[in-house]
Amino acid sequence: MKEKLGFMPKNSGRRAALIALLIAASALGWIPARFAGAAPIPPEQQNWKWELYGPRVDEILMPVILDYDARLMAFKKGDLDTCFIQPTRVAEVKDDPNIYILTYQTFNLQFLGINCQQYPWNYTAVRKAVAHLIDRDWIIRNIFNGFGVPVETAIPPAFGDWYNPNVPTYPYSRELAKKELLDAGFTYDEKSGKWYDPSGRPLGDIIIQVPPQEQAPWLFQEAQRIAEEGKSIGLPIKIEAIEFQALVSQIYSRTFKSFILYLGWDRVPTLAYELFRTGGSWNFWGISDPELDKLLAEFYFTTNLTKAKEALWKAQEKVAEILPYIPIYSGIANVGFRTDIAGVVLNKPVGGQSYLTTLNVFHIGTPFGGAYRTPLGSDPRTLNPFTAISGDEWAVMNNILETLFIPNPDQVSDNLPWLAKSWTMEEVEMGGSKVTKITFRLNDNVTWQDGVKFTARDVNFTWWFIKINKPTQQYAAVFEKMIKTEVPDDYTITVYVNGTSWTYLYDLNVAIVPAHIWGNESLLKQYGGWEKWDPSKVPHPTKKGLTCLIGTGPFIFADRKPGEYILLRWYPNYWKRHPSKTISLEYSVSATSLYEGEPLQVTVKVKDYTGNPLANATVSIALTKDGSVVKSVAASPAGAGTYTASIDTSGISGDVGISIKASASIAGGTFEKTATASVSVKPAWQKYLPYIAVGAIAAIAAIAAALYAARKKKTKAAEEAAGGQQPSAQ
Amino acid sequence: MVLDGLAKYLLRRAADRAAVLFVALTLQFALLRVLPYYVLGIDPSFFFMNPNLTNEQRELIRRAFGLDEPLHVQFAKYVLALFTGNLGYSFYTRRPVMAELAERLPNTVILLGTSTLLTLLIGLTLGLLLAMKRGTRFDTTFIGVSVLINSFPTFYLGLLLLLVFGFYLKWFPLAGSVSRPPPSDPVLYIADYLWHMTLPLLTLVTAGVGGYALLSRNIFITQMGEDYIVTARAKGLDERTIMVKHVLRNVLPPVITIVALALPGIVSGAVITETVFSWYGVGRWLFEASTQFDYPVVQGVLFIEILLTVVSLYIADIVIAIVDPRVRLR
Amino acid sequence: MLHVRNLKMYYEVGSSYVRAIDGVSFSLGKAETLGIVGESGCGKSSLAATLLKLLPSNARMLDGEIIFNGIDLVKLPEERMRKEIRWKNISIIFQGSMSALNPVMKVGDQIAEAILAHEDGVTKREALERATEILGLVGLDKSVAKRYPFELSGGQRQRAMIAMALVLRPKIVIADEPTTALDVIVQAQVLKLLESLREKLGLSLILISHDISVVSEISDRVAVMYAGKIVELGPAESVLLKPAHPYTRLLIEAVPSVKGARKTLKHIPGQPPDLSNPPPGCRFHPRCPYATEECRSREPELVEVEKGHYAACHLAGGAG
Repeated sequence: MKEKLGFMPKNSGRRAALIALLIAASALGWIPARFAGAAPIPPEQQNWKWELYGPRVDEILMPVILDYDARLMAFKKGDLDTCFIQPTRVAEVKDDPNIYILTYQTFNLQFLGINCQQYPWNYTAVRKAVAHLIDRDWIIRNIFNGFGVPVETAIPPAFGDWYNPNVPTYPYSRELAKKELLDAGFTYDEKSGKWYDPSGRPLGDIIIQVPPQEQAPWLFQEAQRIAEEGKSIGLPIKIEAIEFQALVSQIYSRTFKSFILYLGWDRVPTLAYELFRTGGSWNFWGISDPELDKLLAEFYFTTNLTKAKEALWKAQEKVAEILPYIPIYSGIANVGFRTDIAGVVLNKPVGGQSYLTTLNVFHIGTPFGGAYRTPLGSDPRTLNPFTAISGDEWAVMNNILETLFIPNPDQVSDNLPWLAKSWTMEEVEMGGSKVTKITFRLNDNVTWQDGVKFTARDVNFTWWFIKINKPTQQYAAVFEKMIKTEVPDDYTITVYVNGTSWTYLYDLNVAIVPAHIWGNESLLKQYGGWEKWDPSKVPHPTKKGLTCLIGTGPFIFADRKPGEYILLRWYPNYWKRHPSKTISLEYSVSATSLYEGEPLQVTVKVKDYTGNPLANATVSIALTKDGSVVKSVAASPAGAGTYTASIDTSGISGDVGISIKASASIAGGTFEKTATASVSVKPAWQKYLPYIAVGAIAAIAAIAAALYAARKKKTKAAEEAAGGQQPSAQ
Repeated sequence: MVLDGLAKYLLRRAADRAAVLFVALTLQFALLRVLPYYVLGIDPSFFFMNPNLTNEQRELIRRAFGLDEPLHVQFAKYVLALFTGNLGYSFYTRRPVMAELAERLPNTVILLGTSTLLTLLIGLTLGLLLAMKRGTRFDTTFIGVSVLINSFPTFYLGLLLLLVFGFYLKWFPLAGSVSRPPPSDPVLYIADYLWHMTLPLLTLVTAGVGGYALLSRNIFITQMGEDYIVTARAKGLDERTIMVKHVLRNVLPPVITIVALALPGIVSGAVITETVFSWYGVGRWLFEASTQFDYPVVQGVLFIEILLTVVSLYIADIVIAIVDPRVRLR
Repeated sequence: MLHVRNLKMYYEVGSSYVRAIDGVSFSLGKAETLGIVGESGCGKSSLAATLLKLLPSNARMLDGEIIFNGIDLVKLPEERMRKEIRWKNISIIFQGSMSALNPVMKVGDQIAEAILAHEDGVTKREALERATEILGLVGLDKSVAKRYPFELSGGQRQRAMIAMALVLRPKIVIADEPTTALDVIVQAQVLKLLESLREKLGLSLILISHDISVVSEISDRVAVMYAGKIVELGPAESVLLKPAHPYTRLLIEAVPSVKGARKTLKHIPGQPPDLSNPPPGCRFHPRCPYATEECRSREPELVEVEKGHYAACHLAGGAG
C-alpha cells in the first residue's frame, strides 16, 4: 500500500496529519449544505445582459399570501420564485443553498418631518441641533440590521447630477448640537440642566410623533434613540405615540409637531417643487422663503434640464440652511430568488427592479417557457388603473399596461424609449404666453392584446381622459394646463401645455389605456362608470377569453380567483416578442439528387421554444425553380411533432430549391419558421444512362470484337492465298 | 292558556331585542360616521392620500357618500338603506358593500360554520364527559391541557401548525383556499378545498374547544349536583335515563344560549386565522377596512353581525321558552 | 323488617376518613315509626343515604349489615338495589325544597316516571292516572299533576314529594327533614298526613329531623344520634320523658316552651366534634357537664337502662 501511494510522506507523523486533513476535508464535504454558506448569485444572473425583448416565461402566477411568515415559508419551501426579505429575516435565509439575495438601494427616504410653524421647532437652531443628534450609523446598524444608506441632504445623492454635494450638512455631534443652540442665543443652565430660548423662557418640549410601538416598533426605537441623545445634552425631546391615520390627518391639516416617516421619491426630483415652495401641496413644514421660491420656480418651469439642475443646486443650499426636514436614511431592500432564477434586471445605480425584469426573467435551463411565481401581500381590491392605490395592484397592472418611456436600467435617471420611439420638447409662444410643446413619435408595430392596433389616438384618449375625469393618482399640473393635442398621423402626437416645465414630460408618461375600451361609454355605464368598474372583472366585448383589462404589455390578464391568486399569460403577439421565442424546425431530405419522377421524401420535426414537439403544426413544402414555386405539398403529421411528405418529382428537372415552412399556433399567437434546402433533379432518361453506357460499351466491344475477328479472317485468307503459289520449299 | 303566556313572553322578548338592535345601530352610526367625520375631520376624500385634491374634488366625494346632508336625515337614510339590503359603497373600491360581502361570505361561512359546529359538538360533549368523570385523572389532565391550549394566541397556534405541517412535513399547503390554479373537476375541486381548509379548521377548533369544554363541564356539574338528581337516583332510575331525561333537559337553556352566541361568529369570521392562512373571508376584510378607515364596509359588516346576534338570541329565546316552563309561566 | 347492625360508613377526604356513621345498629318493625334526631352533621342524613346506597364516590362502606327482609343490602349489587329495593321497597322523602323535584318536568310526569321505571307493561296513560290518584291521597287536587314544581307552594311540594314516595307502596319510607322548610302550621299538617298514611298503608316510617319536637309528635320509637353514633334508643315516651343520656336531656331542654314563664334560652355549649378525628372515649365528653375520667378514656356501649330503652353513657341508669 505504501508503495502504491507515492505521494504519501515517509514520515509517519506527517502522514498522520495528512490523513487527518483528508478525513476532515471529506467530512466537510459530507456536512449538509446548510452549513456550507450562503448561495452565491448564479453566473447566469451575474453575467446577464438585459434584453429589450421577451417575455421569456409563459406565465406569471401571483398567489395572494397575506401573512409575511407564511409568505417566507412558501418561498423557502419552493412554492414561490421570489420574495421580499425583511431585514430581520435575512440571516435566516442567507444559509439556504437554494436561495440567493439581491440587494439594492431604494429611492425611499426616511426623514424627520418638522412643523416649522410650531414652537419650539420653529427655531432653526433647534432643528439644526436635533439634526446633529441623529446618529445615522447607529440607527442603520442597530435598528435596520445595516440595510440602509445614511442620507444627510434633503435631496439624496441617489439623484445623480440633480444632487448638490456641496451643501452644508449636520453630522452627528453632541458638541455641535449644543453649539448651534448657544450660537443662536439659547442659554443652558448647568444647575437645573435646562435650556432657555433666546426670549428667556424655558425651552418647551420638542415633540417627535411616531406610530405606536405595536405598529412600527422600529420608528419608535429611532425616536427613543434621538430622545436619549437629546437628554444627554439636556434637550427636552419627547415622544408622542399617535395612530397612523390620525397622524396623517394632522399632517394634512398642518397641526402636527414632527414625525418620522418615509417619503417616496420618484427617480426625478419633481417633488422638490411642491415640498419647499410657499403654499406647495407637500409643504407641510410651513416654510416660506421668497428666494427659495424663486429658485424652485426656475428649477420647475424650464424645459432646459441644465438650467433646471443649476437652479435645484442653488435651491438645495437654501433648503440646507432652512432645514425644514431632517433626512435620515434611504433603505436597502433585500429580495430573495430561488437559485434557478436568472434574468432579474436591477436599475443602476439605485432604484430597484427595472420594468425589464418582467421581460428578461427565466428559469435557468429553460430559456423560454415556464412560470414565474411571485407573491402578492394583499388581495388587489381593484384593477382599475385610475383608482388603484396599492403597490400590489400596480404590481399586477405593470405587466399588462405600458408607458411611453421607461427608466434606463444602466442609468436610472436616463430614459429608454418604449411605446414612444423618440420625442422632442420645446418652448413656443401661443396666444402671448409661453407654452411647452412636446412631440412624441410612436412605434408602429404595437398591438393591443385584443388585436387592435395601437395608435396615437390611444395616447390622446388617455391624456384627455385624465384631464376630464381627474383621477387622483394620475392627475397632475400638466393635465390641468394641457391646452390642446394634435394627432397628425397614427403614430405622432403633439401636446401643448401652458407654462414651461421639463416635469411635464414625466407627468405625461402615464400607463396608456385602450381608447376602444375605455372610450366605450355604454360599456362603462353598464358596469358602474369609470370609477366603479373593475375592468378585470368584465369580459371583453368581442374577444372571448379576454377581459376589459387589456394593454400593450407582455402579459395578458388570464385568470383570477379573488383572494387566492392572479394568473397572467404571455401575449404571443407582443410587439417586442423575443425573436428566439419561436418554434424550431429540423428537416431531412431523402436525397440531394434524384431523377425526375422519383419521390422526394422530406421529414420535418417541429418543436416549440421549450423543445417540446408540436403536434398541431402546419407544415408545407414547396419546390422552387428559379424563384417560382413549381410544386407545393402539405406534409402530414406522423405523430409526436414529426411531419412527412413525399413529393412526386415528375415534370421537374434541374436544380430545385426546397422551401419548408412550418407554422403553429401557441397561446393564441401564430409562429412560423422556414428552412431551405436544394436538390437537383436529373431528367428521367438519365436514369438509364448506366444501362446505355453498358449497352454502348457492350456494343462497341462487340463491334470491336467483330471487326477484329473479321480482320483476322481477312489476314488469314490473304496469307493462305499467298502461300498456294509457291511450293513449299522443301 | 299556556300558549297565551308563551305569546306574551315572546312578544316582550322581541320588543327587548328590537330595542337592543336600535341602540346598537345608533351607537354604530355615532361611532362610525359622526365621530370620524364631524369630530375628527376624517372623511372619504382623506384616505386617497393625495394632498393635491382640490376642495372641489373633496366636496364631490363627500356628496357621493351622502355626507352633505343633516345628521338626522343621514341617520334615517342609513337605517332605511340597511334594512333594504343597501349597505353602502366602499370608500376604497367604490363598489357596493353587499357585492364585496357576497364574494367573501362563502369562504367564511364554510370555514367558520364547520369549525363552530365541530367546536360546539366536541367541546360540549367533552364537557359532559369530563363532568361525568369528575375528579378522575382524565378530568384533571384534560383540564390542564385545555387551559394550556386555550391560552395559546390563535396566530401562534396557526403559525405553528403551518410551520410543522405545511413547511417541515409538507403535508398541507401554506396559503389560500384552493390550489393555484385549482383543479377543474368538481370532485377534485372539493377535495382540494377541503385539503386547504384542514389547517385553519384545526387551528380554530383547537383554540375554541377548550373554552367550551370547560364551560359545559361546569354547567353539567352544577346540574348533576342538584337535589332532584339525587331524588331521581333514589327513584331507582338508571344513569342513562337520569342523564337524558333529567340533566339534559335542565342544561338546555344555558347551552342554547351558548350556541346562539356562537352563531353570529360564523358570518363575521376570524380575522387572525384568515390572515395567517390567507383565507379570503369576511374577518380579514373587516380588519383591513378598519385600518383603511373604510367606514361603509365596517358599518355594513357590523350591522350584519349585530342583526345576526339579535336574531340568534331571539331564536334562543323561543327555544328556551319552549323547553323551560319556568321562563314562560312565571 | 329492617335490621341495621354495626353499620360503618366513612367518607374518604384526602388522606383521612370522616367517620360519618361509626357503628350504628337499630331495628325497624312493621308499621312502626322510628324517629332519628340529632344535630347537623351527626350523620343522620348520611344514614338515610346509606340505607338506600345513594352515596357519593368517596364513601366507603367499611362494615356492618343492613338486613331487609332477610337480604343484606350492603352486599347487594347495584343493579338489584336499583331495580328491587329503591322506591319499590324503600323510598325516601327529601326536604321539599325547589330543587328536590325536577323543575322542568310536570309533577304528574315525575311520579309516573317512578311507576314506569319499576313496572313493565304499564302504559304512560295508566301511570299518569295512578299518579293523579296518589296525589289525591295526600290531599292535593288532581290539577297538580299537570303543574310544575315552581307553581306549587312549599307545603304542596312537600305533599307531592310524599305522594311520589308512596306511589309504589313501599314497605319503608324514609322522611329526611320533611318539615324543615315549612312553617309550623304546615309542619303539623304534613306530620299528620305522614302518620295517617303510615296507618292507612301499613308502612314503616323512619323520620329524620334535627327538631326533637317534630320527632316526638309521631314517632313510636326514637333514636338519638351524636357524632356518627346512636347514643340513646328506645320507645318515644321513655326517651323523651326520661332521657338517660345527657345529650338527649340537653336537647329536650333546649326546646323553647311557649307555655310557662319566660326563661333564658338554654343551649348546648360547644361544637359537634370533627368526625375525621373524633375525641377519645365518649364522643360527647367535651360538652358534657357530667363528664368523668372514664368518659374521657373509654367509649361507652349501649346499655339497657329500662325495658327496650338503651343509652350509651357510663353514668346512665341512675344518673339525672
